[in-house]
Amino acid sequence: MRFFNILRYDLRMGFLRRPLRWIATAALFSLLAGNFCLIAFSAYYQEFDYNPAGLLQLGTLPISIGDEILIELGSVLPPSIQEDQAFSFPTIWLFTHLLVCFFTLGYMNEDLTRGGVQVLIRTRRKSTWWLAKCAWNILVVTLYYGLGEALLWILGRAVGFSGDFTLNPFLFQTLTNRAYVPTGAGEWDFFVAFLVMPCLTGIAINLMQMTLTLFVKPMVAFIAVAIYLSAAVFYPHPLLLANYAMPVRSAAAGIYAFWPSTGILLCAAFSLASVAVGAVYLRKMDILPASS
Amino acid sequence: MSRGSLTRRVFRVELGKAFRNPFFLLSVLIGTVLVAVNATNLIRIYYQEGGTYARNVSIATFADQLDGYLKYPVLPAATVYNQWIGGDYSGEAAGSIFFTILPLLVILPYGHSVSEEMRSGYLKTIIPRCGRRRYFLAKAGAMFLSGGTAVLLPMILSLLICFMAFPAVKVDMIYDMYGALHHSNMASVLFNQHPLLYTLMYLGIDFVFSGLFACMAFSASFFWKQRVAPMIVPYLFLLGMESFRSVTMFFTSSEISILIMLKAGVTPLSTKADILLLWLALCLLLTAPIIYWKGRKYEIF
Amino acid sequence: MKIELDHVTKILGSTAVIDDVSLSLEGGRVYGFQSINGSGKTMLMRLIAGLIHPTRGEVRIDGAPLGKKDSFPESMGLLIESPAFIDSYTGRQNLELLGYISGKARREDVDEALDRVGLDPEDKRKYRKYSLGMKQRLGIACALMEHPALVLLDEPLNSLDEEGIERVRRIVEAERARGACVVVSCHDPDELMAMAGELYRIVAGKITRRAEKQADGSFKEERL
Repeated sequence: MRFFNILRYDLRMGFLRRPLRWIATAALFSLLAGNFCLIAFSAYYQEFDYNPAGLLQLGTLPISIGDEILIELGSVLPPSIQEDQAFSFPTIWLFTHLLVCFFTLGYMNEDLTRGGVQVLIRTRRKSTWWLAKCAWNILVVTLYYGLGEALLWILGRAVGFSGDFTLNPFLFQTLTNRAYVPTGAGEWDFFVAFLVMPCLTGIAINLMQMTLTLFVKPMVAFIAVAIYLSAAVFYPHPLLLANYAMPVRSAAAGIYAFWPSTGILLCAAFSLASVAVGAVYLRKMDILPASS
Repeated sequence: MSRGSLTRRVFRVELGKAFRNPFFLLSVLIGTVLVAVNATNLIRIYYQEGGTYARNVSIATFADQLDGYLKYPVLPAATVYNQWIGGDYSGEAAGSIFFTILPLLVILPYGHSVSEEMRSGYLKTIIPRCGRRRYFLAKAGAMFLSGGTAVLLPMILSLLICFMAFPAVKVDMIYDMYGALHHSNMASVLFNQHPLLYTLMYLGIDFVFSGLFACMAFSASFFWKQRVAPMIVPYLFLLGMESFRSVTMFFTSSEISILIMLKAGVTPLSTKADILLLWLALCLLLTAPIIYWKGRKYEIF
Repeated sequence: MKIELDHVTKILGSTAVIDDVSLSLEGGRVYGFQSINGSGKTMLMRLIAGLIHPTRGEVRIDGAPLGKKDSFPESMGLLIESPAFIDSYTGRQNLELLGYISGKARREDVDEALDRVGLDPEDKRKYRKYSLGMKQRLGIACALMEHPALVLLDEPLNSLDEEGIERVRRIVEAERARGACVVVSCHDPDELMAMAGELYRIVAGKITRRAEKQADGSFKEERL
């Protein structure tokens, strides 16, 4: 019972009372949707006889929500396999993942070192408090990705793109400089790789960040997460979880072989480890004011 | 006691706090590690390729490339000026990460100081002793210098390492496929004729912009009361602005991202002096007037 | 409720902030901790509250070691250092939120606690507009509203006016009469002697003297 009371308190203090963050999320993903329209229009410019009015006819093109997700949130292939293609760091991808890390960053730490002590002592067990914080973290991250992906889907459908994940070979080649070879992956495989995996990876990374803030200052934890995310861009290693949050590297896309099943297992393992480490450390941790 | 000496003393205290704190050391350490990894990778590739251009390719393709370079010895050599962390264009991991997280590295040393002192009530103690303007000016100066230095030191280290490993020759303009700076880039003539001066100029540019990024945390402290937000929001702003590249690329061949423009070497789009100056104006607008006007009227409860 | 500290030591860095302290505290009594600043009385309260763990020794609540099954005493009201609440809520809203979490305080309890400390439950001012004395009163109300079995008040008289100090004296006596174990720390010996039935003097983390109030109001001292 107290767990749900604390969770409700956390949702109110760390989520509902911060509407600006959700407005920023909606604005970001709306901009991404608009950006995709420009990219698609630019790729098909010739077909529209170089006429800007072609923007209004984007819905007639064989473009799907899968293309939208791939181009905007797909990230890039590692530079080691990008032959003859200038490497461009996926800033948009990094920004969307770091934004939610920022949302979840300081809340727990602030709570522990200031007025949250009164909440903590009313839970009787630190583990209850910690689990509520983990649940809050998971909810916020899920809502972030859910809202963002829903907006991309809605705005894409509003323009006229098809609601499935059938990839457009022309756009695929624009992003990867490789021919698209269908892998036989079904809609469900694409759904998991393109929509579910970024969320699950985000949950694991945000839980790791929150646990890290028990040991180091939040700013240092954020830098560590930024480096961890950036390193995944260059190194396609399964332990760099962010690889599973890159749809272009998923097995469904056909170039790399980051299987969602492995990703789900790794994300679950990292998440559980973060929760466990935090719970064990918190048990022994002294609650002292920030100045101590 | 003269006002000049009081200003100097306040500034000295702030400088001491900015440089003698563990976060400054941590920032320099992170930068140094990235520089070391970057240099190691590029030097390793350089010596394996027999002295020609470094490409970030896998070991398996080295043999092919080596064969090609050995057949065609006229291919240009790698030089200090396109191998140090600021000049490297190969997209090497550590170097790319360094510039991607650069705003965080410059804010880390002293960016927390204003919001911490506002929350702790320390301002009540210090401001009556020296005045708002003097104090905030000293604070901004210390932030600027510590932020700039936190990034300058690793970059200088990178240059020094590269001077020991690569020849300090000019980049070949005639036969260069990858490392030549196109004439549409600012100071391309300087790069091609006096690359050392060009590199030193860029160190100065990076120092100034890094200092201004650090001061953005100061400005943000007037608007966000949380501890962490003033330090992260400027970074997200700069990263977000870089995201607009994908839109502006349709309309212009000029680079608009400041994080990319801070690299001295070849960039995907041309770096123009007017856009750099616009960024300078924007950074100054986001720091100096805000710190001045908000600081002048800042009420301490 | 019975609280026992069994040879408790707390070392921070290389300093023993609490050094081999043994205490037994029971309900229905008021205990006073008296010392100069930095001697360890707040740290001792933190140990009793479960906020920090002893380096050696054990804290037991009703025979059960603290920190094993439960991190904090089941029924506790706490005022330690400067109280901190949510700036954008009123005093009542702040207390209702905390009472909701524990499930032990309804609106009537919150209003009663505010009334006892001299704050107006209907006051619409946000916490950020409170004076220092009002913040202190709100912190005391927070410690009382759930009618806890253990009340820990660290320097409760800070920033209070004469009327506020008198209220705190009455509150401490009322809590004792209710059967709570009340622990008060204060560096003003006269105030402490007026409130407490048993006094402990702390010097450099050690309890050096214990004094028990006699029937005539004087204290019988015992060196430890």
